[in-house]
Amino acid sequence: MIEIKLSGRGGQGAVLASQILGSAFFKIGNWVQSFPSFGAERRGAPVSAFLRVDTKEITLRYGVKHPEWLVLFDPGLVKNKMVMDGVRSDTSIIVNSTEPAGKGRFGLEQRLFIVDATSIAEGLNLRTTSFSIVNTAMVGAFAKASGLIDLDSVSAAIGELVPVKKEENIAAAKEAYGKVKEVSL
Amino acid sequence: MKQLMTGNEAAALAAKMAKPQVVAAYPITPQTSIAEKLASYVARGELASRYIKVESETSALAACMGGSLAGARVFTATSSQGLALMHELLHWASGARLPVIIVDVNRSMAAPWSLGVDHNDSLSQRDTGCIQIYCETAQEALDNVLIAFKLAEKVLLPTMVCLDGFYLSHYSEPVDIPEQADVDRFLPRRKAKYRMDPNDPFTFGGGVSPQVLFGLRKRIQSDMDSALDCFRQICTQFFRYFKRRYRAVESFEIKGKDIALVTNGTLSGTVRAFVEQNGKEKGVGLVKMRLFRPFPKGEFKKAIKGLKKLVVIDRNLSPGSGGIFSQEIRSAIYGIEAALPIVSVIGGLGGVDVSIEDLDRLVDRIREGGDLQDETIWMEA
Amino acid sequence: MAKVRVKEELVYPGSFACPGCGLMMAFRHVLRVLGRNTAVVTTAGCGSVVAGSYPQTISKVPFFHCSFGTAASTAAGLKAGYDMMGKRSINVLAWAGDGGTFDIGLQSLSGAAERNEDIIYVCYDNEAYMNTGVQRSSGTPMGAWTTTTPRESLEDRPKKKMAAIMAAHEIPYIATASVSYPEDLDRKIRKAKGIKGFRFIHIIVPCPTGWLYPASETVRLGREAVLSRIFPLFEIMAGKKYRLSPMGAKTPVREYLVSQGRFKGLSEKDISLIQEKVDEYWSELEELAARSRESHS
Repeated sequence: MIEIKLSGRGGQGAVLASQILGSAFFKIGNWVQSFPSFGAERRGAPVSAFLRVDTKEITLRYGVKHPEWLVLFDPGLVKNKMVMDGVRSDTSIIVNSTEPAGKGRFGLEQRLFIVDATSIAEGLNLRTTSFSIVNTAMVGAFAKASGLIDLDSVSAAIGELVPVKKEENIAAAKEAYGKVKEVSL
Repeated sequence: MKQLMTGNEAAALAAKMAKPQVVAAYPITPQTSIAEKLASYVARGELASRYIKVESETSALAACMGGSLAGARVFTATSSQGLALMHELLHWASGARLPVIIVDVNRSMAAPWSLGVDHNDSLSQRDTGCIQIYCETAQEALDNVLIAFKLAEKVLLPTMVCLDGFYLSHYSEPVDIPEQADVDRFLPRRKAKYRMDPNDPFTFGGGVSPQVLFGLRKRIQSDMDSALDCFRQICTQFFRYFKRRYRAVESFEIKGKDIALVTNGTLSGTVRAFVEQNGKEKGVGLVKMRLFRPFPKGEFKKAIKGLKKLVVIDRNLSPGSGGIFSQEIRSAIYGIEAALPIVSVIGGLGGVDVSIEDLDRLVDRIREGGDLQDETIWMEA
Repeated sequence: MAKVRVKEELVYPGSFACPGCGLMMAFRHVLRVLGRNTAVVTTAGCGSVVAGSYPQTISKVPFFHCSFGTAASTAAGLKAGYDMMGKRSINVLAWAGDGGTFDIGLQSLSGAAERNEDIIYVCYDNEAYMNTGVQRSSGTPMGAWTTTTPRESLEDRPKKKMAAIMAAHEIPYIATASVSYPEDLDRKIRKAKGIKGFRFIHIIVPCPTGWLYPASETVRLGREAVLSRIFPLFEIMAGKKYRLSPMGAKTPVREYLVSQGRFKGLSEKDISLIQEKVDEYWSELEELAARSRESHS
């Protein structure tokens, strides 16, 4: 079983990202379980969403304690206790950052990937009045970095679940898939 | 066909497929997505129903009772404080023998505010004469709602399907969606034997003598008893149509084990995973309670044959007494030949996680602890 | 005097009502006008007590005893059920007292009115919790004795203005009526029957038991209440258009008050204060009616 945590700020679409990934894994024959962190919704506040993937039925009914993958929509979240809770040395982390890869590791010692999802989203005009919509780019980056899911399944899931600008969102995932870089220690 | 959906979406879809003619609901977290989903089904013409957007849960149940009196199939959903607000009318609905279907998305009762799950909201309705069914998965949420309509309309009692808040209501997972044609065959339109009909007028619910009241209460008890058989038969029919088998009490890998963890709701899923992983080594299996009212005493006694100890994990608390399931189970098995020791555990109140590691520690403690019969074990976070 | 057509009686004789009960008169009139194709929902109150005990009933139409606060929502659900089952022609009547309307049922009433549910809601107002032994409600008038406003501490707040509250919901039809004006009551029920949406009829029903007067005086007091304008008769269309009903020349409140034991403790000062309040309300109503006439002529 693989456990994934996606964290963003309220309004950035972390919950939808976990649904897209869930749907993509489900399409290729996995059992999945995706769920948001519990609590009232508030724009801008840290929000986490979780995904469990397995080849057989998942019957666990509690939060993900130690994610194998952590996907951060905002580099500032690295300092957030709630977001980093349960992250261990063997957790792989993907961070959305405008810093070029290789320039700093946010003080992280785990395996680290960086993608400039904000620029990708901006380039495709994926934004609301207050946020760049980086969730689909982050999903694409996850596909490449983890190697757990193929881009076609991710694109198909985006096509089904994203309500607007389907083409641009698929393009964002593709672009991030191509651009995500591992940062060496 | 399998689709990803949350427990709430599955319950709402089942309600839609059951084709209730009257729906009345008032929003409350974590039930809201059911209220929203049904509103959208009705707005898009996918469900031919009158959706009454009431001003309170009291009115939600009252409106459902009104619809039921007209002979219609009716549905509502609520949670926590909302269910508590319905309490008076739950008595009324069962006394008036109105088959209202209620989905309760379990959530702790205030104060203080909490959004997490425990079962005090639904278990507080224990003595209202309302049937109670608990769900482990989104699939069960869908299936139990369909079963509930059939059961309620057969035994003429309100029926509540309970979904754990968040762990079920908000977890998205694969659900096998039945064909509408099969649902229509399994659950044809309601044919109300008693209804308010100007061509055949009756007065319902007026004053009665103590003797008549006594007789009617006795009748509810005997109909609750018969609901156990009905439930069994309906589950057999359900299996014929949909190939999924349900029982009032279900056991999992208890052969050759001396201890069973007894649970209801989604906790059963975590215990199931624990038993799969460590059950052999630790000597534990799972007994899961699907029905709480009527309490399936006979089936429970059958299910626990051969076990040496029961560990009842209650996600609820009756202050001054303890876990409610553990009391009910003690009473159900009292007097059987080899009296089983029961360890009463309170866990997961307010939505506190109960993990495999927690269960592992619990079983170790019980193995080491000797006679824990007179204590309550608290699985604190 | 207009000719009165005697319609089919839909109430059986032998109710559990006290002698001289105004509510029973009102119920008979209302059902006679609505006819057999009617279903009734009633809350706790005199209306449910007088209906009789199993296996007897006063009602020849289907009749459901609902919980105290839910007449409007139960009736709304019943109507929705009928509509969805193709029985649109059935009149659904919510029948509730002042307690079930002004107090415990106000929330569900407001909800159903705001949604413009297609029901007729009739409040039979005997101005206190009578069947529990005369306790004050928010329909109890200023200066009245009840067991919870005893002689030492008479009701000191004015009666809640239900019609105004209902008018604020902009429902299609509101009317006040008195059992002592049966033709007016018949006309209003008939009119309500022909309108779709939420209809609210407020009937004053004198109660010898709680108002403390001889049972033979019910009709006279129902008339005095109207003549004195303590309970004026009017209609409100769409929450805006007020129309006063014919009710005879206005009289002083004194005659009405001194005829009832519940007002026995009033001083001359109290009576003039009540007169002042009544005059004030009456001129407000006259003004509203005049304004409605102007804007609609």
